[in-house]
Parts: sequence; C-alpha cells; structure tokens
Amino acid sequence: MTNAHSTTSSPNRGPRLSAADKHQRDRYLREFIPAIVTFWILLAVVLNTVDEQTYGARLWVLLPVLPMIGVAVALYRAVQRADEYGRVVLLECMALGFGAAMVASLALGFLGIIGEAWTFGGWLVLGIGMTTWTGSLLVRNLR
Amino acid sequence: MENSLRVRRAANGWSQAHLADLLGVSRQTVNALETGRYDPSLPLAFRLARVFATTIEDLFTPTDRDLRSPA
Repeated sequence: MTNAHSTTSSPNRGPRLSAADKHQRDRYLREFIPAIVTFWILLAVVLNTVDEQTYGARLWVLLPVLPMIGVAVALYRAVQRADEYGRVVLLECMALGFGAAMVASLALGFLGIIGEAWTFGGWLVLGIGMTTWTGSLLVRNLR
Repeated sequence: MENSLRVRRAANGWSQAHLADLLGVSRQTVNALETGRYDPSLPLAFRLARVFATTIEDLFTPTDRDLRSPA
C-alpha cells in the first residue's frame, strides 16, 4: 500500500476532507437541511398568522417544534455515523452545550423564585446552549 | 502515547485525507492521531498497522505516563 493518492494536493495535509468526511457531511446535510428549512417556513407562517385570542393558538404556535424533531434525529444520526474521534468531539461539545444550558435554566429558575420571570427565558437557554455547543465544536475543529 | 504515524505517512507520500480514506475515518481523526491528541481504539490501531504493513508496537510507543498504573 505505497501508491500515492491521485487527488493529493500536498503530501503533508492534502485535501481537507476524506471520503468518510464527505459521506458523513452529505448524509447529515441531506437530513438536516429539509428539517431546518421546514422549521423556518413554519416559524414565519406561525409568527405572521397566529392569533393569540383563538382557542387553537397554543397548538398552532407549537407547530415549528415538529421539524425540530427532524433536526434532533439528524444530529443523533450524525453522532452514530461519526468515527471514534469524531464521536468523542461531538459528545464533548454537546456536553459543554448541555451544561451551559442547564446552568442558564437553573439561573432563570432561581430568578423565578423572586418573581423575575422572563418571557423569553426559554430562548435564552436555547441560545446559550447552542452557542456553547457550536462554538466549542468550531474551536475543536480548528485545531 | 507517542507514534510514528506522521513520519510513516510522509514516507509513503500520502496526504492525511488519503490515509483517512484508507482507514475509513475523517481527516481530523488522522490529524488528532498524528499530533497525539487522541489514542486510537484497538480496532483502529490494528487497521493502522495493516495499512502501514507493520505491527502496533512499531507504530505506537507508550510513554512513562501511559505505563504508570492509576493510583
């Protein structure tokens, strides 16, 4: 097995992605993009049409949550498809995001005890968790 | 764990991506292995040994810290 790779651009690093990288990325995007696009469409529809006074408003406003189940499944499958090092990185970064989200929700919970209830607290928790997760993933991938 | 992966890969004229293709892993994994940031599982270590036509012991050298039993 000493024949050089035909698409090698540099003997040291070469292409940024291996076949396994491309396969995993393509499979992930094929599952993730339809779900996230559906989410944004439903979110736009709901935000523009929801009538808080109607009986079905609570159900209607929860509609964008459905495609997020697809996003969660895409993430789960990405972890399953990742190789052993990729899985370690993904899970470590998810753990950081999870921890940050837990700390944020705990802080909001304690603020709630003294009557400081934030209407958009859930979004804050989501934002902190997602930012920590994707940020740590970016930092790990840069190395 | 110290290893000779980078030297052996360079000797073969392979890119990290090509070695990753041979092993069925990501290029990041190869990079992490070469820089010692990640020690492979036993199956991956055997695949590495097969790709370089050598033994695991030839590829990897445990450091004193690796050999020290946990207190």
